[in-house]
Amino acid sequence: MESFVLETKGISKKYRSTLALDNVSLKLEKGKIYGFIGQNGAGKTTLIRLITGLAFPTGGELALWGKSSEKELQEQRKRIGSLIEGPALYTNMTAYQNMEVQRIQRGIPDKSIIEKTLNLVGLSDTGRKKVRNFSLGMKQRLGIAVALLNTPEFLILDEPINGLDPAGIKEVRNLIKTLNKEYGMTILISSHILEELHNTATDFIFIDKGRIIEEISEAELNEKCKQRVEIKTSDPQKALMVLEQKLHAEKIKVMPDNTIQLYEYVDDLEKIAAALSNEDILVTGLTVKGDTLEEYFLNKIGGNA
Amino acid sequence: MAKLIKAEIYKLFHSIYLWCIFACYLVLNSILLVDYIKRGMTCLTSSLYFGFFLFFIIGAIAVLFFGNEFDQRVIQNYVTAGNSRTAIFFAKVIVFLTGSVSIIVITLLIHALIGMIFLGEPLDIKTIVCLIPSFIATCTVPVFIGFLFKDIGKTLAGSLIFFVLSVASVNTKGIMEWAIYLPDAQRLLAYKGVFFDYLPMNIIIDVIWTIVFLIASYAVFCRSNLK
Repeated sequence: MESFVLETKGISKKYRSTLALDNVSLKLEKGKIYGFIGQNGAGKTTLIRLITGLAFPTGGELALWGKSSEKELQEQRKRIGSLIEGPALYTNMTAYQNMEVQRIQRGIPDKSIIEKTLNLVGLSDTGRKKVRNFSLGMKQRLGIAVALLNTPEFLILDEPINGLDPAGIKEVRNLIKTLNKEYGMTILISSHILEELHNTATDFIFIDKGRIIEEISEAELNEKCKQRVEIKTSDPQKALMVLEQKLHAEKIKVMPDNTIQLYEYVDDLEKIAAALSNEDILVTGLTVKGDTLEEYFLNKIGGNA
Repeated sequence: MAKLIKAEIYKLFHSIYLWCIFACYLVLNSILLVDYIKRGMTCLTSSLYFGFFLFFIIGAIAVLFFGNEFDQRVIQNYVTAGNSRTAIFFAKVIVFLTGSVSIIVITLLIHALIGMIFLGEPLDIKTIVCLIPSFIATCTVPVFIGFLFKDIGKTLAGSLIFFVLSVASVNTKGIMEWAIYLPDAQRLLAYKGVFFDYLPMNIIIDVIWTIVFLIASYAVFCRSNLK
């Protein structure tokens, strides 16, 4: 199916006695930005290595644009750009020369693509400076440029903002969004900076101990992580009525344990308390709750938020 | 594969290390052979003899060409770009062997020409040409070490161990009897002036040696997991 850029069916990878990936089934839809989240050693990079052909699965099936034979996969990989575990560069060469090697080996005839791509990542003015003299952030940006050289349909970025300063992080975030919007590029990003992923991705994949534990869209995640006021009262039904009539609250629901969840007035708890007490409703609990992506992830894997 | 070879050549011509290694090999070999010329040997035979002891410099190319590139994960870039491992393997091996053997052969040619021009020695091109298979076969060992370890440190250590074993072998009693079976020691046969007595067996052995090491190198690369 062309609508799926990547599809894995029960894919596993074993390194001697360690099971790095355990029966992973996944579908990545065209045109989305996927945030790939997991702890160190969870299996993120292993899966990326399998996708890019650096490693071979010990079980299961992997398909790129619906093609799954080894020969076909190799051909489909020409449509991928990747940055895996930091930039892979010739340190004794300039940024332009690094790009030229990549251009030649990919068989891209248009030389002007190099300038365009370097410009895109803000490295067009590095001149004769050798890559070994670049800062970590500059190397990272050049690594991204190498990944973008073939204008890929599927871009895989493993920790792309490592070593970047806040301005660089913002630039990369904007670049990713632009590439997705303008070129319809499907992007898979893994990062330890979860809040940054939250600002960028449209979908999230959580992985732990080699298993996919959840796939969730941004909307679903926001819903689950949303900031809300949790109200415990002596009379939930009356409290609900008061909140709707006096405060004109619309985003409100009563949970099975009779706790009221109110998705408005998060910064105005006094108003809620006053409205309820004016109607003689005893408020026994009034707290603001809501997870960050980091807290949500840690809760998912059973860690401490 | 043509575009990969083109990329490798571009890289070599824009990188200073190959030229530095060539200069180092040529200068060291030239300095060492001065002493031997005084002992009545020709420039070419002296160059052949010392070339053997300078093989560690050729090993350094393998360290940079394979070990370093696996370490910096630039070979991995070729794989992720959708190139077949077979094409990557052959592109790298062809360019490495061409570069390494060229350094050895050009150095020999320069010394043979110096001998001819300044000392009136005969220009023995035939010996140089016939030794090329043995140079290729010798250079396949660092290729194998590079593909086996995929790491700069281990490739360096492996190449040095191979070099030490080679030097030890030529200092072993009776080396001349079995030098034919070791491509790196075959230049001793040329040095002693008996190389052509063993033709074509020595060339057949070089070819077998080359094929075995290249097959082994390919086998460890084509199905290995890369960093």
